[in-house]
Amino acid sequence: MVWNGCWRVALCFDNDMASASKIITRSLAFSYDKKTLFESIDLELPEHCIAAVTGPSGAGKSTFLTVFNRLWQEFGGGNVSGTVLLRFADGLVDIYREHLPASELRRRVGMVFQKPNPLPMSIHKNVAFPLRLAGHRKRGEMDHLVEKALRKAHLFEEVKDRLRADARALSGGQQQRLCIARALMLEPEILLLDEPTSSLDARSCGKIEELLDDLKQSCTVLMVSHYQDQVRRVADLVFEMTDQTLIRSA
Amino acid sequence: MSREDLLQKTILLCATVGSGTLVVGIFLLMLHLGWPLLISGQFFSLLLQEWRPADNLYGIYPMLLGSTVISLLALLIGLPISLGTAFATTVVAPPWLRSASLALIRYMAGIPTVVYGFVAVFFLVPFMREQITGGSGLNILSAALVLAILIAPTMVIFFVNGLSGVAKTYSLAVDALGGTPVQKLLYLLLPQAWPALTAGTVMGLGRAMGDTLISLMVAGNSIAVPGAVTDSARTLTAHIALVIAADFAGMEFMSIFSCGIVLYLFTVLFVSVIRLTSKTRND
Amino acid sequence: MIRFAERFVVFFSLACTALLFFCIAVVTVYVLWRGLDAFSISLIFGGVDPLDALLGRRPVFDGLFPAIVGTLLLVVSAIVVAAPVGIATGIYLADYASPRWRVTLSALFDVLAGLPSIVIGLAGFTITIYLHRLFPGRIGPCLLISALSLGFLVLPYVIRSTQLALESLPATLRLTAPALGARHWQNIYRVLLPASTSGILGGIILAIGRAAEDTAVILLTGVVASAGLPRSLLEQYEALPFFIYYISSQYTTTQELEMGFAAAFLLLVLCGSLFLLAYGLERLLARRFVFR
Repeated sequence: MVWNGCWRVALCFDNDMASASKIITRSLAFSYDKKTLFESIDLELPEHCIAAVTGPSGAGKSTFLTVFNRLWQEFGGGNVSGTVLLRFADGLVDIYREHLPASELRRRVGMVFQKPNPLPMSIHKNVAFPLRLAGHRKRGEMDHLVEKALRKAHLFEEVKDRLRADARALSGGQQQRLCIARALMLEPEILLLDEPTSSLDARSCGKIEELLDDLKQSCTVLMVSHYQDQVRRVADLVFEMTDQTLIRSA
Repeated sequence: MSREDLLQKTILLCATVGSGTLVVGIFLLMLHLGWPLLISGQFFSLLLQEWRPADNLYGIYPMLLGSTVISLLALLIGLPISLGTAFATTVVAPPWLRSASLALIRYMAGIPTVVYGFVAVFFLVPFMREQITGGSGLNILSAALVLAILIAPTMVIFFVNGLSGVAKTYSLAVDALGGTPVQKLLYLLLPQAWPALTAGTVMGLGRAMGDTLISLMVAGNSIAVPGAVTDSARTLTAHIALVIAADFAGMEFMSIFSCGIVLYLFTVLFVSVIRLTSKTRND
Repeated sequence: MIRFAERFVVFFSLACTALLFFCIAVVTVYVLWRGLDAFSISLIFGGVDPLDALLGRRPVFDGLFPAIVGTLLLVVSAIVVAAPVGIATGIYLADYASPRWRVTLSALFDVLAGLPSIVIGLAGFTITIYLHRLFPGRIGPCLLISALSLGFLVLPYVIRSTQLALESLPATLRLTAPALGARHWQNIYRVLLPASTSGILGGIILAIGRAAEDTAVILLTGVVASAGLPRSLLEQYEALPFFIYYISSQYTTTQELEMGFAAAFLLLVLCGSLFLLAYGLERLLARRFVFR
């Protein structure tokens, strides 16, 4: 990749102190319509951990997540200041200073939303969709990759007989695991989860929590949740968003 | 936006700029052709003069009056009918009738103008001639009656959208307080939906004024200044059609561009009114 | 007093609805009755064998056939022009334009939607005169000019329905593909456009209906009462709405009048069903977003 070569040199003084960190922010702030949503956030997250952000609703937790895949840019409006560094397998990247296309970034930083959002197509096509976007066309290989992603999301056994059925026919919990499988399709190193269980019943919620523990093996997970007990169960690091900033909770 | 999307963006931009330019271009074209009249200062006197080519008078005053009178009269007849139908379709009528009525309104909007005109020529005009006004039966009243029916679906659709667009929570509040459907309509929906009502009315007026076929077929096309609603009259639109059919050059031809300019400006006026009223709702 | 006013509103609304639907019933029944009465194969093909006429082996002189073909050609070529341009413009307005441009351009297309069709016809006619001066003897009022003018007339229907369909998509659907790494155009092409198909199709159907029924534009740009089948886009042609208009003022025999009714019947059925179809699509669309 061309876009990280020069920055690795410029940032080498950072490398020692943050050698194990996957996600680093320096005085990160976000404002919308001249109104500050949050500011002076300094964060360092190690690899293979689950970090959870809690806080009152409307505090800007969801927007905070979208800072890491630049999805807020799709809303039109808003302004980020400060530095966001992500460490990918091939080096540390400043996602706001380098000319990194948003689509490229979002292929490496997956995201799952509060409400399951399967696209109006079959289960198979939904999971294969990100690869198609990235330009892959080989069919035989695709089936294998789809199965792998569905297995990672603990969904394959439930849907293996109806991969060609409309994804919207699945139950809410299955839909959400489908969305996780879809996000895992491109093997992201970082996964953003925006209250992934808040629209689900207790049983589906439990299944997703189980799954989160497995995900830690391959990704660094940054999630938003407002269930204190869930956070205590699954998260390694807990932060709280209050007074327009992020504080480490005990 | 990435560089890879540049081609698609350029194509879309070209289509947009092209169609936008054409809209402005039409006005400039007519302005260009009517320019000799404008700079000789005759444009405004044309608006007040009569049309007597034999005496070198090419004023469009009779047509301006004809257009205005016919469309206002059509609105006067069509507006109450459309309002009533919209009331019935949103609250007053039983539910099964509401959806049937919505479908009927859509069908009505699809009836070709020329079919209305055709039926009017063989049905309404003889009736008018023999029972009501006498004469040829081709007059302002006949045209306004047909136009009232023609513009009704446009207005009803606007009114219905406006009335049913009022927030459900308000509506539930009135229901919970024990209000009847009619009370809800009168005290909640009407005051809330007035921008849509204005917009629909102006739309209706615009359609009536822009219509060519009905006035051409039913209004009689007399170039005299009309004195009563039972007189025959000619509209600006019909005038364009009739003069073009007769002559290609000279003052006569130039003067139809003043009709075009006037019609264009009316459209701009109507669109501005609609845009301004619907903006106040958003604030 | 208030009770009385409320009761009056109920009575008034129902009376208005009844009156309006009575008028529609009169128009519809009258045209259907007279039209069906007059309708026959020979009225369309004027004594020529239908197969011969359809294959263009023998010209039809006194039948509706040339007018039907003319209208079909006109509508198809107008939509071929308007649909791609309109959809492209709609996409641009919904997904690319800055807010200020969006407002300005929407206002401009509102003006276009409100312009009397005779004004667009006049513009088409004027351009024809210019073209005629540039290429003497080759370009006059013809099918091509009419189709271009009609395409322009129905353009706002396509633009608005495309724009509206795209803008009313739920925000979650809009964000799904970008979060998976889709580029802007990939999102539009693979997700947003397929999800708006029925809305866009509804607009195109309305545009077809409008193009089929309009008389004022073609009146100034090349339609004539008798031309036979057009052999190229640069020739004059016949069309159903103009034929109806022409018969209403110029008919001499009862047979001509009968043909007028048959033409009115055909056009009414065509346009009426097109508008109902568009309405059905619109309902389908609304339901899909409400109950999901």
